[in-house]
Formats: sequence, structure tokens, C-alpha cells
Amino acid sequence: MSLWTDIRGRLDGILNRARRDRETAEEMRFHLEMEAAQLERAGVPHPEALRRARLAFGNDDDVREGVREARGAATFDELRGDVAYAFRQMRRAPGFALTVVATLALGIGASTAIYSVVDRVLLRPLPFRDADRLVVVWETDRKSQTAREPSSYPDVVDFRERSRALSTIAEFVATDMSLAFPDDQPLRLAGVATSDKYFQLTGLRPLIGRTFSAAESNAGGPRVAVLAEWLWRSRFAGSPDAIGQTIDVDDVRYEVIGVVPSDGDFGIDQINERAAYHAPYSGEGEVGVWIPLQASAEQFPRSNHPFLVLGRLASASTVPSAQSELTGIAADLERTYRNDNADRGVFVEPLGDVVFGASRPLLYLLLCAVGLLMLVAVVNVANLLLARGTTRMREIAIRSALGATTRRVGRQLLVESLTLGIVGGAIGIGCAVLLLQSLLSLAPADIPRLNEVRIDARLAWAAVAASLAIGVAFGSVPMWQARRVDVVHALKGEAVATGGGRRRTPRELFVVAAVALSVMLSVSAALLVRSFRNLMSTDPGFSTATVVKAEYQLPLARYPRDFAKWPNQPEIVNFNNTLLERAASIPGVQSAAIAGAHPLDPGFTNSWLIVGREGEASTYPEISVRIVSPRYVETVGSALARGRELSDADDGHAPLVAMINETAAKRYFANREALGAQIAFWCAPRTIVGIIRDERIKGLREPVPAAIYVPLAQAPLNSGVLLVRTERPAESMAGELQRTIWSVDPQLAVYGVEPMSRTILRSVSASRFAMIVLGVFSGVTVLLALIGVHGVVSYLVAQRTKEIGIRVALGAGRGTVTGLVVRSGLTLGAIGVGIGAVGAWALSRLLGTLLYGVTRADAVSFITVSVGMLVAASLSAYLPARRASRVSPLVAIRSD
Amino acid sequence: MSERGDLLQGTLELLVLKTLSLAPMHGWGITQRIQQLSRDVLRVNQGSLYPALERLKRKGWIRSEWRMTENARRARYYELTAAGRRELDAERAAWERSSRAVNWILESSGA
Repeated sequence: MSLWTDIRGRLDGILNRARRDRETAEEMRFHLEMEAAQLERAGVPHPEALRRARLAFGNDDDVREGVREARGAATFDELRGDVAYAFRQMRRAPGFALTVVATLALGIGASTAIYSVVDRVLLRPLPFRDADRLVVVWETDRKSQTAREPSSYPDVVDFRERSRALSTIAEFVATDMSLAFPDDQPLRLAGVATSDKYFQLTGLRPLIGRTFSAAESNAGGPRVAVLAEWLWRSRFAGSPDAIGQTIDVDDVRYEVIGVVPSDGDFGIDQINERAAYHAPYSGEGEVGVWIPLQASAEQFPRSNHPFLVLGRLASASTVPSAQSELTGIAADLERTYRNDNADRGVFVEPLGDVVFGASRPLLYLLLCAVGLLMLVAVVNVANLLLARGTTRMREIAIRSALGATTRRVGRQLLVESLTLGIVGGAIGIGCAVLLLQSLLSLAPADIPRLNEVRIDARLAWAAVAASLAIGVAFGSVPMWQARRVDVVHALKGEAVATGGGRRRTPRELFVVAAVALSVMLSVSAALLVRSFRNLMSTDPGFSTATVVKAEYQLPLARYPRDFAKWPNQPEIVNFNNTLLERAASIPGVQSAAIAGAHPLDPGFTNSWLIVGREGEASTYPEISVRIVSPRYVETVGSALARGRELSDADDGHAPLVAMINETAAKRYFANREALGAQIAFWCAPRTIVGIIRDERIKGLREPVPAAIYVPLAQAPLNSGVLLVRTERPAESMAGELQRTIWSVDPQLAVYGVEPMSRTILRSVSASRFAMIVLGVFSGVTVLLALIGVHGVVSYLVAQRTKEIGIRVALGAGRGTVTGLVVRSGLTLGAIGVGIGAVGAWALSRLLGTLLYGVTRADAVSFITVSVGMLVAASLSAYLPARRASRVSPLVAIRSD
Repeated sequence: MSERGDLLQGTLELLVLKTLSLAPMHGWGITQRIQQLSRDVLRVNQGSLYPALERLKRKGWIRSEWRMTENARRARYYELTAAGRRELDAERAAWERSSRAVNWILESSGA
């Protein structure tokens, strides 16, 4: 018989099962009738003949079964039977089945969700050609001690001409642009201004059309634009007709020449994020448009540092060799341009480090956490199946006694755990989808490529495979147990009562492991919770609850900056005054102000000096420059330490004045009078009239830098943020602010409209994210561990019922018995806590910069978790203990 | 199934093949025929016969077909295939060889 005939036969048997069964039945009937007819011919009356024929035939089910088996369909039928039996078993012990399925689903769901994030963000290849050869070239400033500053245009040109270690160098600016399609409201989106070199360097290829030519990249070249795929699809429905259309970028007309993939903006958010300062960039959404920079040395002098720089390592060079070469070039420039390039150096940093530097540790921490969760889940499932196997010894013994082979019983047990595994896995994938949604909504926005994260088919298969593997692995455990079942003893119920040695069983080891793992996670979670509490209780220096902000950008085309008449720029000043007036008159607004940057935006810094102490200036780091309108202090809920606030009188015609913050006052005017002193920057001295309380402009974690507050009227800006203080619910205010700005200029794109309370939450989103995820994970693992403790203690109690009965009979009190049992749970808990504490110390290394105001060895976290775990373990042991203490000695001794 | 069962199974298949080599027949007919040819010594159990028929069919030695009996009843008739005929010859040879061998042993004079 060929293999093919065999397979075809079996398949036929399986597929045409119903028809074949019918035929067999008919054949049997025919046989019976013939038999009966023969008996009748021999003189037996009809009913008796039929009865005898049937008797002779035997059990026709057996015959049918035999035929079916011969047909090769038997294995399949048995399997169906096993699956049906498995489901019946699940219904019969719903608590057990639910716990196993839920545990598996949680473990698989959580790990699939986290892994899909790690996979998409960290493990997938970068969208750029040979991305590991790309570097970011930062300028450094020894004076302000910043390592990551943008470059000046002439510096970039010099680097490009002289460097051999870098084969290509491209400068770019990523900034929010307002983009208007013909006959449409402008929208605010991220754009990049750069040159043809950027596309050469990254290997970014257009989907349709082309990218910039060299001529288009140079100053005075034609104005052309490249769209990102997502914008092209949403605005031009992915039509090739987009090429040749015109768009307005910041009120200047550009012609669309090509479309590049949406992920062409890879890394830009993070490069901006890491830079000491950068152009206004909300970092929300993907880059939508690319325009040529068309820079010239006249427009961008050496003193001006607006450009971010990417480089590609030449084939023979390395990051250190590029670093040393560019350091040499920078030193040369420093000698040549003593004014502009004093204290300037270069820092070459691999692009991957810049992009993933902040999120890699966070994601690996989560991966580690979910790994621990999965381990606990697996351990718990193993434990549950072991327990189940034990309680089913008797059933297995009965089946063996009735003639089931070891193989048959084993297969059926395997099918049961496989069924549990598959059901758990399937629900797990559903959980993963839901979990991923909440993860993504919680995740900090600066994790690269987060918008690409999804659970793909590959991962879903991996999850199914994992659940199958778990099913097989733990299906074999009861199988292995079943092999050792001594039928006679098990039937008498003695097999389970023979224990009594003090050796730790695998089940106890599993529980210890689960407790240890959950202590590890819980300590980390506790450290993060305490860090987050410390962060949130840090006084930001302004009120977050009642302030709403709305940001906008005034296009240079309609709001020109004429430095000849500076600071009197009529268009900007008009806009500011009208906006302030209208904002203040919105019902419910107590106070309104305009600032260059909101209180959590570090803004920009500038070099400066104190008049009369010019000699010291070379040691000063740059100072943060805050540009604010009158009533800023009142609006954001800050306060004056001394002096007066900036007022309406401090306009473009009045003497130049400024406030400084307390940090600046302490650092530079320690034993001197700050008020009345003069500070000079931008070539003009300003008199200090007030000292304002510190605002945490660099975020809650960072120390407050020295800052100077300059009146808006004396330093008008094209980018601004409207701030209002309101007693109305902050959320209802957003639309109103937007409308107010549009009432002044309907062409402006308004963005970042939100209460400061949300801004501040976002600024700590990495901490919050890690805290919530680890908190949830540790909660789940603790729960699983406690279920484990409860299960093992119940099992021990069941095992020792006779012993307990004897003790009670001999006069042991309830308390003694309860204590005895609880102690057994507590011992397991204590061993687990001890091991877990050591593991937690190791794990906390991963928390790194997420910790704030607590150390890795924070005693409060360790003690709280350990004590909490021990108490919880005792409680979960107490339930079975109470049951044990109520055992009646008579029942107990007879129970087996 | 015991070892004796296995022996019987192989023998039963040989007997079925032989019976069918005479004429195509339905299951009941086969039992009757074997009983008759063995002079009532061998009685075939239905529980063995039908699975055996199924096995022979899967091996391609016999094929089955629904036909009308003389009494106009529908019945499944089995008939030998060419492969079945070759198999019958081979098995018959094997059977004769082994039964001869068994006889030699049984008739040996114990020396």
C-alpha cells in the first residue's frame, strides 16, 4: 500500500465519515436480516429469529468502531472525543480552567503587546540605508557646557569641505510649518528644510517624482517641495497628479516635485529633543513636507546656530576617527574665528544612540518586566496542572483499571492541556490587542516609530506557538504523573496520603519562584511609584491646574522683522495687543498673557554679562531668555520674590528692563543687590527691576537654570504662546482660545492647545508610563503568586488531613492547627521574599534615570513590598488553614 | 489485541481473499461460505470480518460495490482485484510453507 493510498483512504474516511458510517450501518442491517431469514428458514419464528441474530451479531457498535478504526479514521475520532472530553472537564472544574486560561491569556497578552512594541521600535531595521554608519554631528560649547548644540551654516560648510572621515554631511532644520493647500485653511505640521545631501545621505528614495536637485538646494534656487506619503495620500488621494501642484508653506508658494515614504522623518523628533535648543517644533505627528533650505552665509552668519547636522561615515572611518578629525577641524576654526567659534568643539554621536538613547532602557525594562510576568504565569500554570493531575489520580486510575492504555490516558491529558493552551493563547492575542491600545495611549511620544506599532501575523503566530508549547510542556507533566499511578493504591485513596517527608515538592519550589519574581517586579514598581510621587510633588513654580495655553506662529511674510526699527515691529505688536485684549475679555478668564515659550518649554539661551563685571562673563553659562508680556506672573500663578513685575509701561519706547529668576539672583548676586543692576545681551544693557520665583522650565527633573525675563514689547517674537488663567474647566477653554486667536488672524495655525496640567503630565510621561505598566504587571504577578500560595497550602492541608485529625484528637487547639498551616505558607513566602529582594536589587539597575528622589536601595520600597508580600502570603494560607482547623478528628481519620 | 488475535487476523484475511476468488460476495455470504467450506469448524465473527474487509479494501486487494441480490435487496458486494489475486497466491504459498513447517515440528518423534 503506497503512502498516498493510505493518506487518501484516511482522508476519505475522515471527510466522508457520515456517508461511510451510513453505509456500514446498512451493511450491518443487511447482515442481520440475512441471518434472521436463515433462522426463519430453519423454523424459528420471526421475532425470536431476529433476537437470536442480534445476539449472534454481538454489539454492533463494536463492529462499527472496528470498521472505523480499520478505515484509519479512528485516531481522528478519538481526538475529537478527547477535545470534547477536555471541554467537559473544563466545565466540570470551571475555577481551575478559568484560572489557567486567564493566567495564560494575561501572560501571553502582555508579552505579545510589549514584544510588539520592542520589535517595531528597536528591532526592525531603520528606514535609512546602512543606518549604523550615520552620525549626528553636534557642536559643543565649553562655556555653557552643552554637548549637543546645532551648528552654524559656515561651520557646516567647513566641515563638509575638510572632512574625509565623513563622506556626506547634510544640515537641516525641523520645525513646525503652516501649510496651506489652495483654497483651504492652513494646517500646522512638522516640516524639514534641508538640501539634496540629506536624501543622498539617508538613501531616502521618492515614491513618485524626485527629491531636490543640487541647484534647487542652493540659495536663490527654485522653490520646490517634497511631500510625505501620508500627506500625499490624505490630500491628493495618492494621485500622481500631485506632482506640479502648488502649496503654500508659511505663506510662500512651493511646487510639489515628489513624495517620500512617511518614515523618512526617522529620528528627527529625537534629534530635536536632544538638542540644547531647536526651532519651534511640537513633535506631534509625522513630518509632512520637505523644502530646500537654500541657505547662504549672508543669511546665516557664523554666530547663528540653527542647523542640525547628519553625517555618513566614509567606508574606512569609525565614530572615534570622525570625532578626532572633526575636533581638529573645530580647533582650527576656533583659532581662525576667535569671536564666533570661541570654546566651540564637535561631538560625533551615532544616530542610533541619539534616537534610541532615551527609549531603549525603558523598553528593555518593560521587556524584562513582562518576561518576569510571563515566567510567573508559566510557573503558575505548571503548578495548577500539577495540582490538577494529583486530584485526578483516582480518575486516571479508574480509567486504567477499565483498560485504557497508558498511551491513551496520556494522550487525553495532553489534549486537555493543549486545549487549555490554545484557548488561553487565543484569548491572549485578544488581550494583546487591547493592551497594546492602552500602552500606546500611555506611552511617551518621544519613543521613535511608535505609530508603526501593531500586532502583526508573525507575532500572533508566535503567541499561538508559545501557548501550544506551554500546553505540550505541561500536558506531559500529568502524563508523567499518571505513569506512576499505582492503580490499587490510588483507588483506595492512599497514594496521595503517603507523603510526610520534608522534602520540598516541585509545587513548593514553583510557589517560591512565583513569590520571588513578583517581589522583584513589585519592588521596581514601588521605586517607580515613589519616584513619580516625588516628581509630582515637586513644585513646578507655576500653577498647573488653572492655566490653559495655545501656541501659534506668525509667518514672516505678514509679520516681518525689521531690525532697523527693532523692537518696534508694528504688525507683531498690534497682533499681541489685540490678542491680549480679546483673551482677557473671554468670560471666565481671570488673566491673560503672551510668552515666547510656555513655563515647561526650555526655550532658548543666550550669552550675556553683568555690566560692571564684564571680566567674569567668560565663566557664565548661557542664560535662559524668557520673553513675557505684562501679567505673566499672575497668569501662570508664579510670584515675585522681590521688586516689581514687568508692566504695560515697559514698551518699545521705554528704558530696557528685565526680571531674573531666584536661581540667577542667588548664583550671580549672592552678596550684592540685584535690583537696579544691569545685564547686557543682544548688545544692549537692561536694568533688573524684579526677581521672580523659579519656574521649572526644563521639566520637573532638571534643576532650574538661571533665567532672565524680558518684556514682550521690548523683544517681539514671531512664535508665541497665549496663556490664560481661568476658573472654568480647562478643557472647555481650548476651543475658545483657538477661536480668539483666529478672530485676530484667521490664517494662523493654532496648536498645542491644552491645559498646562496636561503638558506637565506629558513631560513626565516616561516615568508615568513605566510606573503604570510595572505597577499593573506587578499587581498581576502578586495575584498569581498568591493564588499559587493558596493552592499549595490547600494541597498540603488535603495531604495532611489525617495528621491534623490525629493532632486535634490528641488535643491540639484550633489556633495550633491554624498556626501550623499558616506557618507552612509563611515559610514559602519568606523564602520567596528573600530571593526576590536580591533579584529586585539586580533588576533596579534597569530603572536608571527613571528614579527621582529615591535610590536603588530605597529601604521603604523594599520593606513595604517584603512585609506586604508576607502578610498577603499568610492571608492566602489562612483560608485553607481555617478549613483545616475545623476538621473533625473522626472525619479526618476516616477521610481516606 | 492479543498475539493470537494477530495470527487469526492474518488467517482471516487469507480466507476472505480465497472466498472472494471464487465469486464476488457480500459480507454475510462470506461468513456463510467460510463456515460451509470449513465444514462448520470455522465461524467468522462479524466484529472481525467487517474491519478485515475494510483493511483489505484500504490495501487495494478487494473493492466493494452496492448491487442487488437475487431477492432484490441492496447489498455491498466485495470482489478481488488483480493485486488481491497476486496477494492471495503469495499468501497461500506462505501459508503452505509455514503450516508444513508446523506439521514437521508436531510430527517429529521427540529425539
